[in-house]
Amino acid sequence: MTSCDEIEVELGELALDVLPDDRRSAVLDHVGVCLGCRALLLELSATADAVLLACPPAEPSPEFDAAVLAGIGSGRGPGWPPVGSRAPRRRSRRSIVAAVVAAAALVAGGLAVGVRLRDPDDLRTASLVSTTGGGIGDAVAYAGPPAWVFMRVDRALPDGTYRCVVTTDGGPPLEVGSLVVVAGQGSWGQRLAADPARLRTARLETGDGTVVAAASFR
Amino acid sequence: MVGIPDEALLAGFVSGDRDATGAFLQRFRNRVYGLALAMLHDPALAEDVAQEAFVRAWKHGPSYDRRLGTVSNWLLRITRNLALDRLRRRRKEIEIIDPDILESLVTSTPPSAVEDAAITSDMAAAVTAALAQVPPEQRRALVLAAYYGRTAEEISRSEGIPLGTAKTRILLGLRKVRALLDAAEERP
Repeated sequence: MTSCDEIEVELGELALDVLPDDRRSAVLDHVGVCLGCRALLLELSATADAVLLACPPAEPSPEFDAAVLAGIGSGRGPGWPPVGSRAPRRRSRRSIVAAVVAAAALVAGGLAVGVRLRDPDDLRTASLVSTTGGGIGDAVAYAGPPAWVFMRVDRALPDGTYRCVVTTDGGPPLEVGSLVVVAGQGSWGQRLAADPARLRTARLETGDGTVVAAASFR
Repeated sequence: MVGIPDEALLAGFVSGDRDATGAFLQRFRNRVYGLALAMLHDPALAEDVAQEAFVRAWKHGPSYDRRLGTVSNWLLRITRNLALDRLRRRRKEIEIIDPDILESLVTSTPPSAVEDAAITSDMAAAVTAALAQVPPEQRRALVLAAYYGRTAEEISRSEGIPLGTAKTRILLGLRKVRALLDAAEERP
């Protein structure tokens, strides 16, 4: 049995994802059964992520956003380059220029790629209120197109999976997804088929249909 | 879309909303590209990596789990992995920046960007300040591992130190940064 002392000295490398494979499995085996080392690994991993923030930001070329749009290419509506969940690939400078031209042609209606923001009125936010009283998070509906809805729980809801249900004026409740709460927190977002202007509530329900929290967009 | 949570922007980005996509790119592009540039020291290659990072984020966005880190951290982790992959595949072709230069970069340049969410900017400033206070030998080991993907064994060889010392420096460097960040959070 490997001791915690032997494992701990290698947790830094594991957190930074530079631990060689021949040690990785032994360390992971130990972490899987040792709560103390697991907690330390989580802490070190969060720190390793944070270290990357120290790098100063830099501004890419003006063609950057258009090249990303072209890379995503999915045919999900006007403004998006054509299909495919094609595999990401390295782009040459020439292909970037071609992507810019293609994206500029497709992004019609004067959208300055990546910078134009829609009227904030298109966003509707509401507090997510628990049926036992008190706010436990928030819900955001965006007019789009495409419209989408986002729900976030920050506190006070038991861990578990909840059904996300929206209601619209005159329409039946519509289950649109599920939100997983772990340690009191969870979030979920999805494109919304319903007309967002008619959206009235977004709520969370348990599996048996009991409403545990709701946000009203009235 | 100023003030919209990162997770909401990610949801819009993944769902195909053009405005959310624009705002998502605007919020994160300079950080993503900055990291790729610092690691690769090649603007064209860094742009390729940064673009690919966003494409990956779009593809894997539905499986994003906030328990594993903020959107910003998640995106930077994707970028780092892609940049490390390029570094490993083309180690002989890509000029490695002197670690001293990178150390200086991550400890002295104020990491700010106008489109940053305030929380990201604050965290970046706190991390920079923390790194500056880490003992130099630990910081160097940490930078080599974090930004160049160097294993303790590789650091041991390049620095001429025992393997155990290299492992300890990486661990202590991370723990020191964590302690400094925690202390900074507790300050009013």
